[in-house]
Amino acid sequence: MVAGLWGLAAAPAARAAANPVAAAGAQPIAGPSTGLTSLNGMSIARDGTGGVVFLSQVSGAEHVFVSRLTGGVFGSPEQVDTGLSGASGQPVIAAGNNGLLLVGFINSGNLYVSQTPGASASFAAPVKLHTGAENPALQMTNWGKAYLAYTAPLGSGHYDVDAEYYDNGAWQAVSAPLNVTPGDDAGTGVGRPSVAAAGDGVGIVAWGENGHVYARRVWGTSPSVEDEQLDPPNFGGAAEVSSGTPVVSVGGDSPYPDIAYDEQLSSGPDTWNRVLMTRLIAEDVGDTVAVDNLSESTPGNAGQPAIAMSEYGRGYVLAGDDSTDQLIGMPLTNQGVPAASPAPVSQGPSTAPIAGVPAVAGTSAVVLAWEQSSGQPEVVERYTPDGTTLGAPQVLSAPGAQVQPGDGLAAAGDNGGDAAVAWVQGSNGALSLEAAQLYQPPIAGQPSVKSAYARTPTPTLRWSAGQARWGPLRYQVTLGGHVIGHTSATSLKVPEALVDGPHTWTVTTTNPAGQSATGRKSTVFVDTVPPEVSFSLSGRRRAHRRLSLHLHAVDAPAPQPGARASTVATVRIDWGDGSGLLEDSNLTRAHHVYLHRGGFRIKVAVTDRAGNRTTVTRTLRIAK
Amino acid sequence: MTRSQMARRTRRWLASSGLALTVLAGASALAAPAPASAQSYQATPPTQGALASDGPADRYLLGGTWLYRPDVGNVGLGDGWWRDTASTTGWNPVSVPNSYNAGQLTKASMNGWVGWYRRDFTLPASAFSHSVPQADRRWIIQFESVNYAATVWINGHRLGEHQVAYLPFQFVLSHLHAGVNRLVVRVDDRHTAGDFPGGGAGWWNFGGILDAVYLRPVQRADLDSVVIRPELPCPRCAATIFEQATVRNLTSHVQKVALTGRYGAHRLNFGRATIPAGATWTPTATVRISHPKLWGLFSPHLYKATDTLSDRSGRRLGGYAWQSGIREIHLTKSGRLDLNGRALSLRGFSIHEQTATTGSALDLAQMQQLISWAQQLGAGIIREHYPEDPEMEEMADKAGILLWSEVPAWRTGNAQLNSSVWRKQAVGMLRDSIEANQNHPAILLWSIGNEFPLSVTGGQASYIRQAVAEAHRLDPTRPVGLATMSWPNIACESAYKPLDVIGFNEYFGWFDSGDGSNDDRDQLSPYLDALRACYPHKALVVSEWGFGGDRTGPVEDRGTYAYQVDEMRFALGVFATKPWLTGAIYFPMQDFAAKPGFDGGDPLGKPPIVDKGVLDRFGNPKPSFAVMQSIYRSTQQIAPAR
Repeated sequence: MVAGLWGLAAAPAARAAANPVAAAGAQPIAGPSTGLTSLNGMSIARDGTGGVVFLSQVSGAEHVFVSRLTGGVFGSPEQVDTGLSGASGQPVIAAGNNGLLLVGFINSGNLYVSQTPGASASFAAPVKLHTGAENPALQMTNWGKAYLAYTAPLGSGHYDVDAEYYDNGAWQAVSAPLNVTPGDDAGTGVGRPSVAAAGDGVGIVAWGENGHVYARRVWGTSPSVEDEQLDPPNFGGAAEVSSGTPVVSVGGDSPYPDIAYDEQLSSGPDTWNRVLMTRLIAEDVGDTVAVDNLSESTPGNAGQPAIAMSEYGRGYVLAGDDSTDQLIGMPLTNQGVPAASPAPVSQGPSTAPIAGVPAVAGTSAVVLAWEQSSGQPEVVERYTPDGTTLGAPQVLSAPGAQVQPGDGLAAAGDNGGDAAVAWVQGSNGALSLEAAQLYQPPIAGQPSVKSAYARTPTPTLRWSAGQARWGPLRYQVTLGGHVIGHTSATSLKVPEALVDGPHTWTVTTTNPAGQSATGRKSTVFVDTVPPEVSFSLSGRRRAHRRLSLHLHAVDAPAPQPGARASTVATVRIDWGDGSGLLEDSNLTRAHHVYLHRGGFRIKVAVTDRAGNRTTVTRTLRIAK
Repeated sequence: MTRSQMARRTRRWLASSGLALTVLAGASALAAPAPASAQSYQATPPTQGALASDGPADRYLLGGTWLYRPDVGNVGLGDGWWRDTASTTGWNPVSVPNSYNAGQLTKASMNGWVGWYRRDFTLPASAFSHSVPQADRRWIIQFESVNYAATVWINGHRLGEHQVAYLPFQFVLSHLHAGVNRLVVRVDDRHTAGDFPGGGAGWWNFGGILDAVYLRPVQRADLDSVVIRPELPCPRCAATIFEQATVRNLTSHVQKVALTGRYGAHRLNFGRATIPAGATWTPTATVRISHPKLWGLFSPHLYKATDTLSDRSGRRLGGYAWQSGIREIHLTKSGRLDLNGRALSLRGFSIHEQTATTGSALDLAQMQQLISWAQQLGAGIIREHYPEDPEMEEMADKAGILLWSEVPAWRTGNAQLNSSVWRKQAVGMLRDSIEANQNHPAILLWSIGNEFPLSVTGGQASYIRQAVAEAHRLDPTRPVGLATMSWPNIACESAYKPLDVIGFNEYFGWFDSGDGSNDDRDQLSPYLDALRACYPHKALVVSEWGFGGDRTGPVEDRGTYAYQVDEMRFALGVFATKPWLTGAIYFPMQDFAAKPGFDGGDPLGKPPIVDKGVLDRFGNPKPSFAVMQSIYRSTQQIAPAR
């Protein structure tokens, strides 16, 4: 048992994510347009719904737009700061299951939020949460609770870091500022706040203040009585100058957040920048480690910390090595514990410092994305299904796409291993927002029954829907070794008449990336011809005497080459005297004794396995 | 089980050789004298009396000074440590009950080793009546609990062996002689995956002779056990007391005996029998009580039940005594447990019989302390992962606290559940537990295990079917349950159909399980509702819930006292909104040692201690003690009488 993780060994094994396949290149979400200015964030919930938020000019002013991700498809951009005059900026987004989206932004120096409860609902009109704010940071738990941290200017160069708590559709202000010293320079510049929302409902806010990095937990609207300084007074034999740019992440358990940050160090005449990471363990400050892979004897400079953690605290922390222009990564295992030493994750030459974006896709899978410039900038990703073994780099942007490294890069994943990477490309005045989706293979749809009979030569074949968080899924039906149709529905009418007899068919489920899965075989037995039936009677036709019925029933095949019949399924004899039905599947002879004289109508009905029925009747008179 | 079935049933002998069998437990507290040094070791006779009043009469407690010798290299067998040798070289004096690794929380200690016990004794001079000839006299030795495998020798002769702790076993003592008799017990507490529990269980593996050892004189025939089963068709009905005794003729002569009994002021007559040599007589008797005083939750009424075996001249040969209670436990159609027709909404605690100083070898004062804490806290039910000590059961009977009686099939893996051999052993263990403990009115139900794999295999389903059927056959008056690991998004389980009671161990807000589905405590209420929808006709119990707390600190920091209290209040608030919930059992009442490296989920825990208790390991109450006490005591745990 892993301490703190209960029952993992006994839990049903979740389907492990595989190295996913990207859909046919990048797809435009918005643009090209003259208005698009920046990509600001992407968030995807466990169920695969989510959205990207970006800024685009309307009448010369920047406004906030969202493209929702529903069923695996990015929708048309929607403006969410409608009704607000003036420019908006610094938008942030957080996604919850079933299409829940929260968007925070700054408009005219004030903090607003707009939200939609689900994929089929419109965004509500923006609501002002706080007058005077900047640097919002937003994250939602797996259970639909969220924390929105921001910097609140108090005037005269004084700032607080505040937060709002979202639960069950409503926002509430956290009861007190989070910074250590009220009215300090908290949350400004490289001290802008970062927030993580743990699955247990506790938020962790990290920020810079007075040259140091701090974190504080918030439970609902109650900030912890404790704040925790993360940056060490010295590291690797060098003294701290200052620290900033904190990024925080956490899994389901709020006791175990990791915070990465820039740390400026000096030793003698030398000054350099490093990226460090410090774990919190409940109210204790854990070990601090370097993320940047720099040598401590001849350190260079690093920056751009980024971090993402999954439910159990697995994930990745990234740093850009400014000396080599490489992206450095360090995997994290349960509860955010470093799983290996930092190592380069980017490959090949780059001519500019690399800023990477990590995202988790399930409990173990991680996607790392970055913009690498080796001549023409391009967007690259590496994916690891198990959190440690990175797949080969994959270029997502099209050749010559004119990726704009300064305009935003975002990545996110769902709980099934799917992930998306978004960026901005194009030329000035004609920028577009692009996304590449990394799909997990679908789970095949299955025929509704293992075998079936049909009385029509063009039966309708039915199957269950394939399973995938992201679609749309399409189905290919193969019958008798030949593809007979494609559909997005879960049934298909056989387009051409089939010869009577059994036909084997399968359905193959395919996702937009072309990944497919074929269900089990099924058989449809076509029988268009009813059985041939005749019978004769023997014995004395008198009451209390035994009468015998001799039946001849044949389910003959249709007059087609190779045709087969389904064979007789049931024979039913109604003697016509109210004595009940005689029913059998293999009846060739039957006996009956009439108890009264009179006229009786014998009815013999023969049904084949496909349901074709032939009924023969005969009237007879029974004497006394 | 019908009475005729019961009469036909014979006892199962456990010994691989010799005569080991499960026994029913047995009055006054006897303090063990302090161990002397091994060099001055003297054989002393056992002391008349027993730690528990229930059980066979005439027991002699084999207390006093024992000797212990560790055998980490497992050489004792080969080197003949079992031989009848007076030398005490290598032996150290101890008192029994004893855990030989008490206080040692190392990996080696958890893994276990072999330890040897020795007790030199002389036989009491006046144990037998003069009227009983020497040839018709026997001695039986009875062990209440040895962890885990015991092999027993007397005067160098091997008597037999027994496995599984927490259950009593006994042997007929052969090869006794005048003067010093030398009893040697080899104890091996190394567990394998197929043991009960399997290796690496969730509580410390304290090896040794964990409870009392008795000698019992048998005159002509042994009144070994008596099933005392009060049957109450309805709360206001007359009660029928059904008893079935087991009388064994251990001699090589025919014995003529008679058995009579009393239940309170009522007499029972079992009749007379001529028992052939080596045969067993299983007589039954009933008595009707028109207006019984009922044993109830927190209001126990106990009847003194006694049975007397006599010879054909009416001279007393042996006896059996029990403090019995009359009550009715009923699973309603709406999926609740009623006690005497009153719906239960129990609140209670799990405990481990373990102390920081003596391991799992508890003396009467330590046991009484556990019961006393439970009473102070207002607990209506106590659960353990194994059958409670007989002395604890007797205390619960007297305190009016119900017991969730479980066999140590703990977190058994599919490899075992899918094994017919393991299943047979497990069902046998359950049978032994029922036979040993069923006379205690405090026992609410029989639990067949704890936290089996969530993906139920045919083997697990088979074990559930077999174990439930066997428990119902042996004791049709009690429901049968299973404690399950649980969190949201687990499908309703059809394999639980045979069960009457399903326990759900839930740790919302503590352990991160089920892909985080139990992260957020606000999901607890809908989760419980979903469980009810799955099992509308079963009695449902939150069989475990708990939060660590071992330090001061902010409320949102997992593992602080403030956090523990806050989470407890929240969970109990949710439980209070579920009127259909038969009970909620907090895990555990007191901090305990679990296993090496395991911190119980506390981020700043101190392995191997699980700190979810409301008392620390040394018995100091945490802030949560008073909180739980307040809430438990204000909770109506049983509906008013109609």
